Amino acid sequence: MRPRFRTPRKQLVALAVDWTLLLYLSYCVFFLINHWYRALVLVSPVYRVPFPPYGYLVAIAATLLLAVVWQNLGTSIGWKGVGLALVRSDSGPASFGLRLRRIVPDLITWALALVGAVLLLLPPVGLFTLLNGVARGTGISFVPGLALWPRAPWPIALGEATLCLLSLALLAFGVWLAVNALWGFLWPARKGREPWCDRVVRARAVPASELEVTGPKRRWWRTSFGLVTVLLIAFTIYVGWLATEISLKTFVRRAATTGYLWGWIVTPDFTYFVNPDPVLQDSILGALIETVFMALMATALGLVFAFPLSFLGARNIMTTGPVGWLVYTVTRGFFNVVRSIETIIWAVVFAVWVKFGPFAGVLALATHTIAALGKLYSEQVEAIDPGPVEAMAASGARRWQVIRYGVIPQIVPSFLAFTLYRWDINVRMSTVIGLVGGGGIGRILFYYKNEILWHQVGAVMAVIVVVVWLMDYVSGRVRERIS
Amino acid sequence: MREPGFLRPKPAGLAALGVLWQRVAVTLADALFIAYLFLMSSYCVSRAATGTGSYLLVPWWVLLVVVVEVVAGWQALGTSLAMKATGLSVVDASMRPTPFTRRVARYLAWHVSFLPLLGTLAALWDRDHLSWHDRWTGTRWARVEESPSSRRPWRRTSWGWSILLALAVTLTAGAFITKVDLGALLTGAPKSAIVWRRIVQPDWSLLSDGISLLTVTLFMALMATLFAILFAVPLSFLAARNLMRGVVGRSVYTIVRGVMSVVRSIEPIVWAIIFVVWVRVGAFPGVLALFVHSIADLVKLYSERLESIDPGPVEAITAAGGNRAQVILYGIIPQIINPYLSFTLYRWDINVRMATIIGVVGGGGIGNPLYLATRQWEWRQAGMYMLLIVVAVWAIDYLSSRLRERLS
Amino acid sequence: MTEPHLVIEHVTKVYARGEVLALSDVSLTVNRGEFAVLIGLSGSGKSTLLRCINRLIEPTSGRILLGGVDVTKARGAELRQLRRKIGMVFQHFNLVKRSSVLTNVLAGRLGYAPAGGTLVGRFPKEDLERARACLERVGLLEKMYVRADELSGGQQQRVGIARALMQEPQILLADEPVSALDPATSSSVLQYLEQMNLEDGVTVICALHFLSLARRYGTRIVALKGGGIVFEGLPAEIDEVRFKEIYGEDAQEVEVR
Repeated sequence: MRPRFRTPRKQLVALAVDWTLLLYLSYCVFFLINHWYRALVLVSPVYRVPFPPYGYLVAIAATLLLAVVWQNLGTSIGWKGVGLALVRSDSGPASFGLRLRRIVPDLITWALALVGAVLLLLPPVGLFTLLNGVARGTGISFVPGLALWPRAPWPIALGEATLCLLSLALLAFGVWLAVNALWGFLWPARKGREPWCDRVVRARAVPASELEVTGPKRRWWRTSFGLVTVLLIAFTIYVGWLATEISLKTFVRRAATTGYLWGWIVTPDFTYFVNPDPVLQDSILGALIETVFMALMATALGLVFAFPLSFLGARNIMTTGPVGWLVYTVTRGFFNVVRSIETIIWAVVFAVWVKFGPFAGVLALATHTIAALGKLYSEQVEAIDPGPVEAMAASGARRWQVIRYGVIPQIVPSFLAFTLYRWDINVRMSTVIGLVGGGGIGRILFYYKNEILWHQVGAVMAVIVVVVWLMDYVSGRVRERIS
Repeated sequence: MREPGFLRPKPAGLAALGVLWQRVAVTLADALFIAYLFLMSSYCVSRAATGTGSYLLVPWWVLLVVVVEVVAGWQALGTSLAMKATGLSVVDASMRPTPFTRRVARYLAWHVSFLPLLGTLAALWDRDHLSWHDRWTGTRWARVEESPSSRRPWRRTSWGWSILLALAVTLTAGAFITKVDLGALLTGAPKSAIVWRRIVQPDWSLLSDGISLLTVTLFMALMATLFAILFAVPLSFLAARNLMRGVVGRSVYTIVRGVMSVVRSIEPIVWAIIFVVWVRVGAFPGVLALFVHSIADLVKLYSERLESIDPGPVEAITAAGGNRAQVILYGIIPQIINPYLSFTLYRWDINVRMATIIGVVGGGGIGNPLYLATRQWEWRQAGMYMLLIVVAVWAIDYLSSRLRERLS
Repeated sequence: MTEPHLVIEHVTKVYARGEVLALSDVSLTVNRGEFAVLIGLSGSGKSTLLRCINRLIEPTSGRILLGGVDVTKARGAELRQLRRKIGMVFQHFNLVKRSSVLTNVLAGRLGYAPAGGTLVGRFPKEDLERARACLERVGLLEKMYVRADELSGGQQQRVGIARALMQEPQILLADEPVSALDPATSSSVLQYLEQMNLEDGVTVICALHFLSLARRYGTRIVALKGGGIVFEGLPAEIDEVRFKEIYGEDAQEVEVR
């Protein structure tokens, strides 16, 4: 089934990129329209220009049309990025007329492909509906809200379910036939021919590296992708400036009133450096030791758990069977999700679990460390030299022996380097995790800032700078020694 | 041609310190190590016994005596950790390892020469830089190449066990200092389970609000990165050792490197706290905080890359008579465009992650409502925001790594 | 005409506060139009001497006169003006890998072109014509817009020679130009240098590894050992004894055509 469905992936990626960029551009345009309407007509700051519901469809369709036109008439960012170029079937340069003629077939191709993709969704949706109906029928609550039929005596329910299954099977078969035919028509790669839209106008899409370089590269301001890139950057800066409410006026105006606090910060007050502050029950030095040990424990914990997990997340070790693939996907998914949530949020969650304090901080740091180190480690495992592993497997060693003697010796230096890198990051994170109740020096910093004791804030900041800088320097030197 | 080392006159007196500093440093390092072990062990013991930790259970002079004795004994009778790290060892006159009885004799002799302190200081004036106890037992310090046959597995060495001991003591002390409480994990589990159950059932009514907040967050990261590039690129040239030569150049280099190090050591969240006081709560202080930190980080990455460029084209263009600007433009810049772009993408990825949480201290973006939701125990709302964060960060992480692959 | 073009007087180069002696009291005179070849073991000071001539390396002591002008005392703009008269070809080609062949060749004209234009990448039209002519001369005109790292080793070195040609130099320094190439390509590259020497009257000082190549192309051989000159004379004067003096007792001559 697969070869029939093979579409030119590069063209798909290129279209996705171009379409997304144009959608983004249209978003920027709408944003600016809203902004200028508010500024000129002086309505409230949350007023939005009324946008008709069909407007979204129009925008999507218009950007798709624009993307296809752009791809054909020039070299779009997507085509430049994937490295494609349009030429005539006899490898001559594609004239403007040919490009113009290609637009309509290209549009039809993508529209039909969209239809095909929607068709493919029918069987899964049908199956889902069926399952849910069966669940409702038997009384088990699957997903609330989607009821197909009320409770009925079980023979009738069984009969209805069987009928549904049969018709679903027929539907799936029909869809498969239709999509096969459609895509076979649009992209007859099996027959070794060009896609239909190219065949109709006698053109070809070739990798850009195959083109002969016959002249100097066109200057960027004369290419469509160069101009659109500039447009994108300009719009982004403008919209970003407005969206993030940057105001240099405020910055300068308030600099005078807040300048004093800089003066206070750089004259630090170290009275509570060794002596505990009576309110906080802790001294800066004590909090510092707590912070460093938090990072240490988190790195150790993370290392211990990430090490075995990394093998589960390495493609070259895991993907020898369907079970392996599943484990690999789940592990990688876990790494990505947990990594995406920053340590501070984890600290909030763990503070609920084990109450405020350094332990919550350790757990939060460790969780993020496991995911981050796990990802780095498994990438390293995937990049090993397969030679020794092959040799060992060929001589009859078991899987764990191959890992122990063939894989691990290759990865130890980089594992150490990554661990040190992570240790460095953990020290930085642990200095601020106290802000949300994680313990360590961040708690003290936040307290002093809330009490507007800026001299003490300066002292804490000075200590943080020295410690982080020291850790950074030491870890950098040790990493140099390792490599 | 060089004169053979042993024919060169040996410095005497205080000048000998220049040659002997290594021995002093090694002894100091060992002393610090032993002191650390002692302090941490006392902390563990006191915490386990009485519940309050104290680093010094004994008067400070006891600590001093113990440290000095242990270090001297360790260095005399075996190979201390610092000695192993630097490759020094105690050998006899013919550069061979000393037998154990001689080592014991050396240790005892050390007491005699150390107590009046003269014996060890005599090494400064000695002809062969030997102290009294070295002279009496016929031993000396030397850096000896370890032959593979004489290398013992770590399990049979004192320094190997000392590392293990240090690891055990550190982890135990760490567990005490960070108040590891496995019981709390169990008792808090039911409450935490409620939280988790709510987080994975996000409140979809907040989808549109969340998306607009996310947009602001993404723009924050973009603006910070774009504007940071503007400042980081020129600064990186000032922070590259191979480009900044001469007295003026070196001082500029040191200042720029120093300032950037300090700025980098302060996390963006702390910068955000400062900027919130400066320009009031909103997305603007978040942008400023990320901007400032990004400049420092980018300057470090950029300048490290500049310091390892291929000097060939630079040589060629200098040889052809180009001035400084032409050398930079034609020899350096074409080499560094791709690495610079790669670092910028890496930094953008980090900025997006930071931007999601900088709202916690008032920096705007999705961090603020997320934090408020957790404070108010609205975990389904928090779950929605967390879901959006995961999707956005994952997408940008993927994009950034794919683009960086293409660049190299 | 055998007037002295380059005079090197008592040049010494010391590194690491006296520990390493790279050049020790080297004195040499090269006449106009000569093809002088420097030979010697690796580390004997050939590269150092060449780089002292155009001040890529600063000599510790001594004087170098090029056409009567003291190179060692020149600074700033004056040094750049002297450098553009000295062309250089390197062992590892030293091209900007990501730039096109044309840009690399034009870089040879940077000492002449007005500074403002070059900062935005504009070269005068005559320079573009000159670049085409130079590329045609080394036989690479059709590769003009190709990226430099897509060429073979021999082609890259020819681009390096074209870059040196752009300077219209009076003297050409070649630091082991063929050491990174295979024997067949070496010959053709050295023929371009010979062509420059015979047709354009450029004085060439070339450091080479292989004595057979030195004999074939050089009009004068200078042998360095341990930072000092041990032999100076015609190629035919190097016999077995001299060879062992220069290269050491265990050396044997290898024939490279």
